[in-house]
Amino acid sequence: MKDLFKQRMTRHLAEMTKYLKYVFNDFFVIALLFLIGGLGLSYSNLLKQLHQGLWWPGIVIFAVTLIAQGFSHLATLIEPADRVFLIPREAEMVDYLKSARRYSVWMALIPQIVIWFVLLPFMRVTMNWNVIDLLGVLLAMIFLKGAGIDTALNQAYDHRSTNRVKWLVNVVALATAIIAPSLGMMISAVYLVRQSIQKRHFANKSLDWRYLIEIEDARMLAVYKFFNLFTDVPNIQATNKRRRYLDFLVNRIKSTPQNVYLSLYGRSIVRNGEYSGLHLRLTLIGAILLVGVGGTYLPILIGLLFIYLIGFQLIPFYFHFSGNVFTHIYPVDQQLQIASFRRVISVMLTISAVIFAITALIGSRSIMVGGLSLLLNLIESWLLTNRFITTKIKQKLN
Amino acid sequence: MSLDVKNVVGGYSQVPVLKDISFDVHDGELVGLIGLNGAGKSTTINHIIGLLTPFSGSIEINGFQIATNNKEYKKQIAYIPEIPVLYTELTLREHIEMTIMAYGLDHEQAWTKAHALLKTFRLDNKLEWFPVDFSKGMKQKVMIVCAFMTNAQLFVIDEPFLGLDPLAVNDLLDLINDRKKQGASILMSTHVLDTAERFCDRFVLINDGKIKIEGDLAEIKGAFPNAGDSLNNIYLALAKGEAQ
Repeated sequence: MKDLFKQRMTRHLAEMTKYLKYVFNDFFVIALLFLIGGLGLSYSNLLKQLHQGLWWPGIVIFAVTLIAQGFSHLATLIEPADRVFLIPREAEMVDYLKSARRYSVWMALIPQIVIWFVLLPFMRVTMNWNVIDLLGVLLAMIFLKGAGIDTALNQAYDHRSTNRVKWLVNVVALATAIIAPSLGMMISAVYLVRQSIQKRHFANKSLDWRYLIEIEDARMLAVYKFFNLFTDVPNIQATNKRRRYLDFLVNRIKSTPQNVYLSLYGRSIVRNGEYSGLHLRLTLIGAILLVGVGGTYLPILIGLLFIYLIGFQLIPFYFHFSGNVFTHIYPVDQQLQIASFRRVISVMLTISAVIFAITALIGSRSIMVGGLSLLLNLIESWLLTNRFITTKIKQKLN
Repeated sequence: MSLDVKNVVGGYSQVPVLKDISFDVHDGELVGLIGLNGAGKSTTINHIIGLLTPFSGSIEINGFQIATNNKEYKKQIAYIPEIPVLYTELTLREHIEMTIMAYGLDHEQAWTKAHALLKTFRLDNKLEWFPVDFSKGMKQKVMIVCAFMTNAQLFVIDEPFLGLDPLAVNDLLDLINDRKKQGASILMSTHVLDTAERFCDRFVLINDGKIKIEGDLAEIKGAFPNAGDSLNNIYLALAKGEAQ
């Protein structure tokens, strides 16, 4: 079973490397360098104004370390079909899961250490801590993360072990660590031992396959969603939510054969998180950027760039239903599909265009910039929906 | 003449799976398309519903062809796939709305029909459910409801009996009978030969992409007098003979 995990790990790493190549493309690396440089500069400027004895740095450290506990999860590489195919070897899954645990713990150490390292100068400046105290905070973070992974693993065999208790201990241990780092470290160590000794009882218990599959699916979905920002990920299957409160958007669509695709596109954009999530994320990132930057040309350019990005990323949505036989069987003219798609896209781009104009107005504090941004954004949206996207779809269709 | 398949050669890529097949389905007739896995049943169905284009030959439904009148051709068909295909984003109610919209049905009449069908298949209290919440059999029932609420002239049903509970099989056969009386025709592929033997008016036996024989049970028995009495025995004998 250990071999099975190794085999899957090799495959998993190959897949991750493939996607990471897309993530770290030249443009992104340059943007990232600028971002890190800029953030580093403002961080060091901020540090110069700080000193010991302020009331709030402890709360910041607590909040950051607590949020850090949410990073990286138990990675089991379990697949849905395992529930059928591995059942006869369920007893041996203990070994498999031990390998998975070891891998997960190592992977989870990385974000903890990085975050601790970034916090280090801040803690040095604001807290009256020596080296032992600083290391105590690091160890507390590491022990808690290890215990968190064990908690996730224990739940596969024993439902009494819950996440609520885990977070409660995290809060207590990290809050204590701010007041007395070594005490916080000790609480974390005790909790880690407590969570890891439960493994001894696993061999006699039955394995909750559904739980394992569920958490692994959720984890991989999060990973794929991240990669999906940079490239097309075929494995991504967003979950659908009813979102009754948005029904007013689609209920106005009249029930006529002409509106088959309008209804399909409209309803799935409202309920399927894949494309509406993409739209929302890019709009949010753009809006935040626009509120942050000042100047005259930069806000306008950023708005235009993000509208282009959103429009471009929505093109594959056209083919969302092509795998469904019925779209080929319905007695509906294919020309209507493009028209309906354009209507949905134009609504989405217009929303972004207006949001970007408003945030550009807020960021630049200039009515001229806001107005110009609105005008240009709307022109670009129109061009994208009525020219660019149609051409691209026709190219792909042929 | 409802469905008329003439000298069709076809398949998925350059290699033909169907080798010159011809058969027809008359008005008010239930024809069973019988064959082993890989015999060409689904390929035949995919050609009829227009997912595949024949390399040569023609398929006509009530005089309409895809090449000349795609829209009218498709209005004639209702299709029930072997594996249910549903929109993950739409509730059961919206699947029905979708069917009404796509076939341009009269809203009230269609809903009356749909409600009766939903009641028959015990889905009437699940209108707000999403496909993920349905079991496989329930999804199949949704497909049946969506197909039989249309006014299609030709029902193409791919292996309907596996996965349905006995009550639902019975209800489906009743529905088929009703539609037959109204003059619609049904083409049904299946492996469940004893049910096929009892309910189909005629059979098209397909093997290795060729039509072995077409006709009612008496005709088939007459053609293979030594093969046995039931459709099952005849088909087994035929299939084994082919393998040798």
